[in-house]
Amino acid sequence: MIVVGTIALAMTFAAAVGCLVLLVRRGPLADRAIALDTLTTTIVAASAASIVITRDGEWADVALVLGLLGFLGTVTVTRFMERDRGRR
Amino acid sequence: MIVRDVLAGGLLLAGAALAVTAVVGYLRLPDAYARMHAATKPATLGVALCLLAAALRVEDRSSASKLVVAAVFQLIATPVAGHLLGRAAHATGTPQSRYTVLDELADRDDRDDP
Repeated sequence: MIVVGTIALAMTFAAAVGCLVLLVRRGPLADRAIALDTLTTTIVAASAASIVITRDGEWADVALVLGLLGFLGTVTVTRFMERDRGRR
Repeated sequence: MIVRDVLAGGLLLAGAALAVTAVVGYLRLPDAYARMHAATKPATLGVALCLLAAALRVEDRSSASKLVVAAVFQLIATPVAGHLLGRAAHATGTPQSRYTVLDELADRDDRDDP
């Protein structure tokens, strides 16, 4: 179980690093908002993988709260993206 | 007990693999709108699978229920976030790739009226 968990954890770390790379890449603003959302989701997946390895419920709160806040973050980012262009 | 572990392991690997495909899809797809599919869809299912795997593995029931709630929330909230991202991307004038066939929002001014 440890091996499977570690492999999954390594995959989520790779996905998180990929998201960071995408975050700093030159491109339209929308790409960065998507990368941010994916980064938050990947961190939730990493905390789930760590729960599988350690069987300890401590990280369950992290997964739950970060899932909620990640969604709020994305909504706020999209709100501010539109606010600059939305003014008549 | 063993069946639960095997199931949790399988779910976890599937979830992690989906999370990786989200980033890979992000790299390969031409424009922001296509990337939105790559980022939100597998990430939603991937994380939900990881959380369910964790819920199977964790010892105390309270954490298991927290994880299930987190998984259900992810399944509900991320499509909404994807929709908002799409709207914001279009509102900020994100360039579309040459594969785009039809832009239904092109003519309609989709600013939210005050």
